[in-house]
Amino acid sequence: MLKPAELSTMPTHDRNSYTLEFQKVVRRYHVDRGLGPVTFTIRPGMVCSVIGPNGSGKTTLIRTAALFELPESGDVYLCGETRPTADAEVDRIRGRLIGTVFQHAELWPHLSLRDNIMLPLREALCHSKSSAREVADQELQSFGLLDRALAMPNQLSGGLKQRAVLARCLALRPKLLLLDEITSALDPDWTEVVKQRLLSFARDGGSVVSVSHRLNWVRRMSDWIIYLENGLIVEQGPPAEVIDSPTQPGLQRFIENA
Amino acid sequence: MYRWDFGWVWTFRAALLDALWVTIELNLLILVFGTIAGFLVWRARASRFRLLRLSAVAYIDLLRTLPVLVLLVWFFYCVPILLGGIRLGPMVSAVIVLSLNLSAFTAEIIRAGIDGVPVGHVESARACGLSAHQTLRRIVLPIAFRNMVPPMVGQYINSVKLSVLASIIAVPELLQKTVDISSRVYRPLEFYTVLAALFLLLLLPGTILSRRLEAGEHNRRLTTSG
Repeated sequence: MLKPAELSTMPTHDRNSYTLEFQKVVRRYHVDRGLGPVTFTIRPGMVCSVIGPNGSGKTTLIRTAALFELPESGDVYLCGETRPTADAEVDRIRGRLIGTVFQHAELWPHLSLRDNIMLPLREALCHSKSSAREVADQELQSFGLLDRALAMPNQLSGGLKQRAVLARCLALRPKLLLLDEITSALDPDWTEVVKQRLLSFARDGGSVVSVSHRLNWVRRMSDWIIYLENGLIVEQGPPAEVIDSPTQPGLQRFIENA
Repeated sequence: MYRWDFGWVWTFRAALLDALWVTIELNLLILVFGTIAGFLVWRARASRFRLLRLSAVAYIDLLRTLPVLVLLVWFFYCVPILLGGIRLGPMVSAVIVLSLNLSAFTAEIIRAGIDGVPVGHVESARACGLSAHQTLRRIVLPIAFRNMVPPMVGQYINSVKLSVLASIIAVPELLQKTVDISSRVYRPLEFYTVLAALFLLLLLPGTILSRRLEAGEHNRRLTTSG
């Protein structure tokens, strides 16, 4: 919902053209932990990477965008609409609009790889069994996992599980992907495949917000970078600005040590 | 030198088999009612209503603290007085008291099983758009169930062993019959030996199953975390 007061102060700001928007969002745990106030916007087709030292608020940013944290102040907008508060509406948005892969996300251990992907399709998006299976197999194929469709999670390596978790998320066809350290267990070949997959997702109009410590990956993939320090955005811009010519001393140090 | 003579036991085999059947019947009823009641107590314990939650905690603490024998005798003799003379009978009283006892432990096992489900699995489910109810039904309970089975089997075995206490209020189960017959024929050693053997036969498969399940669970955890 557009607020008249905000319209008058931001005449050129068209909220509906953004997939995700944070307006002065604050979510603090202690005085020195958490996030905010932060303001940024993510357009359709944009790949944004969030970087920063440990405890800088990256995960809180992802969790707040994924509607797992309620901001103390400020506004979160998803596709121009204010953040819903009713549980049913949050579930609907999470299933259809936002796809989130948390840090250390795991497959559900009691289900095979294929069932892990089919379950949310059946339960959250009400797919028929055959259509869920078709989508699941398509995703398994694209992540090189189809021959292990019947494997149980404890039979898979960390890298395979990480690919499968991403496949589970992409199978829901979200418009916004929120990814927290999803390449930590991937080898270079699969990191590249995932990168290509995310870029093609963005070319089709999807938006990606990804937390990563791999600066090389971040530079090659992103068209926008947010650098966080102590919960605040210290610098944001295209990779050429943020990574190649950083102005803030903290960011300079961060890049040198990376 | 004591001369063993199991002939007496053979003579009373029909009575002992009847008693064995009563023991099995008693325990099946306790298992069913105790488990259902345990599930209900757990639901109350996990309720959003404070009063319900506190009542469930009080119930669990009370039943885990009171000796089963004391509760059994109290229930059998005092409840009819409190109910204005309505007698429940030994079998019904034993089923109620032992089910109540089992339910308190079952509720705690269910709670521990559910608390043992990593929060990451729940958040992944919610992140995929599953509602709280769908997450409980499709993710939390199936994972928790695997955590619960080994301690639950152990608790059932315990409960079967406790069921001999029903003899004190004259439920005609194995111990009660053994005491009764052996005191008549003065052959306690033979009868108690057979009693022990019968319980061994009854519970050994469960004990082995429990150990296998625990080993399986241990191996699964190692491979999952590896």
